[in-house]
Amino acid sequence: MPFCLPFPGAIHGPTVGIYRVTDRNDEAVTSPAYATSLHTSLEQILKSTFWLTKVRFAGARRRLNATASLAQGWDSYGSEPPNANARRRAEEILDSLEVACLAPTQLTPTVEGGIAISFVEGDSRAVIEIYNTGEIAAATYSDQGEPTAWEVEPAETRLLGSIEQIRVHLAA
Amino acid sequence: MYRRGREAVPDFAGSELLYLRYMSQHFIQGELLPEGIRSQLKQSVNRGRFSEPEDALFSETGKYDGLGVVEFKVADIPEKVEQPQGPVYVFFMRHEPEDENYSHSEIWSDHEARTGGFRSPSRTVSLLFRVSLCRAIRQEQVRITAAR
Repeated sequence: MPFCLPFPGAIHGPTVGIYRVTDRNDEAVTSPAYATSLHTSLEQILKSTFWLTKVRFAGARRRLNATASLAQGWDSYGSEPPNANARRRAEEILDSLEVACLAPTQLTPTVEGGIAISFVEGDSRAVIEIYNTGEIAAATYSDQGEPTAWEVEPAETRLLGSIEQIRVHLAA
Repeated sequence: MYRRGREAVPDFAGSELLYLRYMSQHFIQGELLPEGIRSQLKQSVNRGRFSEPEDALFSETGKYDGLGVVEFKVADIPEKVEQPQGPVYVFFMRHEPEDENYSHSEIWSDHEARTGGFRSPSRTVSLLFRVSLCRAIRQEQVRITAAR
């Protein structure tokens, strides 16, 4: 599973990256002598866990924003679209997941009314559902064995316990 | 498809197929996601005894165009879901024919003591129910692949 190591104290801070600005006259970019190593470096960066994790979170946030335009009955069975409350809580949970470096596989509206954040790692799966009512429930499950589901306490704003439980399940 | 005055048939065999529309975003890595099934409200399905998978996408206005259809058996529906605190819930099929869709049926839930009506399950029971059902809905159960 994707794994990156946040620096100590990252739980309260932003994700850190190292950036270097280049321009058209920068020898590191224009010199043929550096072309091969630059190409190799870029390839490695784009395949890195850090970058792939960033891409997955960007995709999840894009999908979350898209749910704002859903209409009543969006699923063909008459379901409610996610409301602003569910979308805001989903955004907060995405922030917590990013700090914990646990990237979701999918973010979709749920036909139960709200937002679902799903994780798939081989045969192991997990889901966090954020409902329009303000309730949150989560589950872990696999091909075999009994699934586990629990309601997340409203006071557990950052869902740290639930995120850890999901991480352990996916890694097992 | 049309009811044409026919009565409801309350009996469902465990081997009877049920057809459910799905969206492509709810089918990931070979399995339906639980967020593609509802249980707080009754989930509508078409029963295979009186319909074909394509019938689940029938609409004179084409509003279901591009959606997919999965099948599962009545026996795949968890009969009973327990929770640490609170009542045990049972799940069962009801044939609820509509004028333009005789095969229309619903998955109902009730307390184990059977009140005779529909009782929405708790959030955790709902999620356990949907997760359990999803494990039976894999690539082999896709009858019409969703394009949207």
